[in-house]
Amino acid sequence: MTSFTDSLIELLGGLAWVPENAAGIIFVTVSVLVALPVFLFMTLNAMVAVYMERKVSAFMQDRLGPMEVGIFGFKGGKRFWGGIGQTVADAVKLLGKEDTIPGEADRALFIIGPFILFGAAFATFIGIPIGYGLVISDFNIGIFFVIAISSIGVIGVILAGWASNNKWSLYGAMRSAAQMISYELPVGMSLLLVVMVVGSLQFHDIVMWQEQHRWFLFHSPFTALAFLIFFASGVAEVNRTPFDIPEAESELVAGYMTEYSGFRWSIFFLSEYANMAIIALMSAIIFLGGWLSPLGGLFRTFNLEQSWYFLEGPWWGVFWISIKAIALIFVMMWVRWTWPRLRPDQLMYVAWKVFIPFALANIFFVGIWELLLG
Amino acid sequence: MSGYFRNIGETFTSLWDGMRVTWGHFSNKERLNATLQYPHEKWPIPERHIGFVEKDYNVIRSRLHVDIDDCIGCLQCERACPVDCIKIETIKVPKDVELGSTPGSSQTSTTSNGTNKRLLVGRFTIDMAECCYCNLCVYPCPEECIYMVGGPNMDKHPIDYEFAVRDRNGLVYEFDTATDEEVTQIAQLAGVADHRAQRTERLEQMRQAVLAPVPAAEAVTNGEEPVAAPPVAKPKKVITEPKMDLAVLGAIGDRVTRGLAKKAAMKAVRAGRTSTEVAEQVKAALEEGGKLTPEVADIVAGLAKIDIQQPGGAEEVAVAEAGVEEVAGADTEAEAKRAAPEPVADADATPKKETAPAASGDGGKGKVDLTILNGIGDRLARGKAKAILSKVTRQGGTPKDAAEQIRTALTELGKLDDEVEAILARLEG
Ligand code: SF4
Ligand code: SF4
Repeated sequence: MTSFTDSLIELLGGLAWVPENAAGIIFVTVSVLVALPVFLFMTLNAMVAVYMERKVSAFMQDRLGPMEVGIFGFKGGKRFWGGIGQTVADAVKLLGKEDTIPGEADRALFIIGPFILFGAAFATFIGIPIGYGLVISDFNIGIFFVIAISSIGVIGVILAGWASNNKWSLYGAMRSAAQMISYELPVGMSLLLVVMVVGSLQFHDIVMWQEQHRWFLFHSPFTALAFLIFFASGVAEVNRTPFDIPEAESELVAGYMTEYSGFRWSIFFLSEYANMAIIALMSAIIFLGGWLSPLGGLFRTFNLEQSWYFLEGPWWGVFWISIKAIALIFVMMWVRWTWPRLRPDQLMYVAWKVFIPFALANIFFVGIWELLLG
Repeated sequence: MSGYFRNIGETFTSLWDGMRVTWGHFSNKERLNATLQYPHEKWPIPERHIGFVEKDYNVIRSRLHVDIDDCIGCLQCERACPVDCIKIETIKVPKDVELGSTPGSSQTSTTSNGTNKRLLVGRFTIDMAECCYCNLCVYPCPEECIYMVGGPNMDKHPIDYEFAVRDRNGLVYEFDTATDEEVTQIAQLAGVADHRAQRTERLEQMRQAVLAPVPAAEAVTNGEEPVAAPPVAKPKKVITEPKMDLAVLGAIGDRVTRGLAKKAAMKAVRAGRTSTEVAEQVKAALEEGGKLTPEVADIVAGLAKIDIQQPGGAEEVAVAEAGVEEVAGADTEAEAKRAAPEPVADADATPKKETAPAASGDGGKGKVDLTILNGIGDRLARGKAKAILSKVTRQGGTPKDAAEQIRTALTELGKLDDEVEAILARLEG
């Protein structure tokens, strides 16, 4: 399996004008070339997702959302999808804002807080493929890497909450920590059973398995349940409603982000939407067949003829995975604008008394299922 | 245990219910969308709706409209208006001329009720920013041509609910249809002043005043009196009343004391006192107010050393006269001035003032500088004095006559005191 990084190194190393033993130079160049697309992807993702979120929330509340701001003189569709320049305008506004740091804040921690969160989201993207072979670096422990790195984010949140020297921030950070740590468990366990079935931690292997068999969502009732648990816990991990007690606007102002403004705040924002994309992409890859065409997957599920597969290939793969991820993001938004927030105790109840027992039982039943039917 | 599973089941069903509701709104956005993108789209005016139907006529009044062709210029509505926001100007049409018969006329000779129109309505404006929607102007109109839009008048005029304008002047609705030529023509025929021509002239004057280069010294305001108008170019003024630099009083720390002192000083200066007298009076006033501390007394004593600039003296920028009543010649002028935008009106007044002080006797027949009387503190007395002065001057009398008459009149009113006496003495001199 080749990855983006591997091919780049090979390409640079093979070029005639690149001197021998220039590993250092190649390393730096590759790092930059690799980081750029990830950063661009995160920015683009945040912009599009914010626009989408605004529109979706507006439509669900019988409003129109942004309609006036255009970009390059183009406002977007007349009736409903106008104002496509809104997020660009907001981004410019955010970058132009004064950067305030509270006088009593712990300056150093206050400053690095958002970047740790951002760094975690950024590094997570390295392991996530968005198409066949389209991955920055293809680890053979992909799932493990993603789970491990994405949990680093909670440190950034705690730092931000602590350094702000604000009771709301600290409350938010503590809740956030409790929540993220609790929901790591169901996430890990529901991924565990997939790993159990496939026998590999590599994302490519998991998708290959689904290509040969069927999507995990349809594999067995237990994997379907695992998908549900994974997705719900994922939503909880990115702190979105109904699990948004760390930011609970009505009680905690803005949680750990209360004291942030301008650029630093937008870093939080960027990471949050990036985390959303990570959860959506992971669900798509692990349970929904990744870059496989849904039609092909459907036919495979019913063991239909191979010749019926169509719309597959590397670029179609990107298309399909995006469609799946966007659909899942839409579901997150749908959920957010429908359900009320859980109380902290309810939140813990859901994690420890519902998700974790079910996920544990799931592992057992999937094992039996595989023994008997696999 | 069963409760636990039932809970989970209920959670799913209730969550699903909620999702169904929001999905219903999302997918039916065309039908359910409540937003109206106002400047781009507007609600259609309801045909039958509360406030616009007859029975609600007195509940909601949309706005005033005048069917000007039916207006006979009887001024009933203008008189009825409690806030004086209707302004009408008419010219009596000579007996042998029929309204509307002159070439190019836009007027009708009779109203739709068949009444002969004997007055040309040269101006009919309603300042809707001032109007209080009391509807009082509607009842007296003999031709029923002024009315609130809506209610029983629905068919007479479409309902209009958008009043927004960028400038307050935009809320002065002009209903008159007479052309300038027509007004001029009828005015000539009738042998009266042509108010439209006067207005045009004045507008031109204002324009000139606004266009004139700003003198550098104009930027300096001495901060004693608030400058009401935004800085408009004003020609330099000749001082028309005695003036004193009161900046020393700024040293008084207490705001109330400072205000009292300045007021007293200004009053004394206007009354034509000398510096020493001014200082005395200020002291007296402060003592009365219980504000005289030794410190303040020192500062006030400093006033005695300051020269008072006498009227007609060196050219200098006069204090912007915010509250000064302007020279009111013909009534029409005052009227027009009220309608004119504030700052410009101020600039407009200046050329007249220039001519005044030196030649108050025969500079211009009918024009006199009334500002000299501004020193009179009592409002009633001041008004009376001004009225007499302008009347006497118009009739060709000298300031001496005027002063005599004012004296008699004010004695009757019991308002003749030393201060006024001093001012009258100056008027005579
Ligand atoms: S409605 Fe009242 S305030 Fe308005 S113009 Fe008529 S009389 Fe004046
Ligand atoms: S009362 Fe009627 S006729 Fe008389 S001036 Fe007013 S609008 Fe014209």
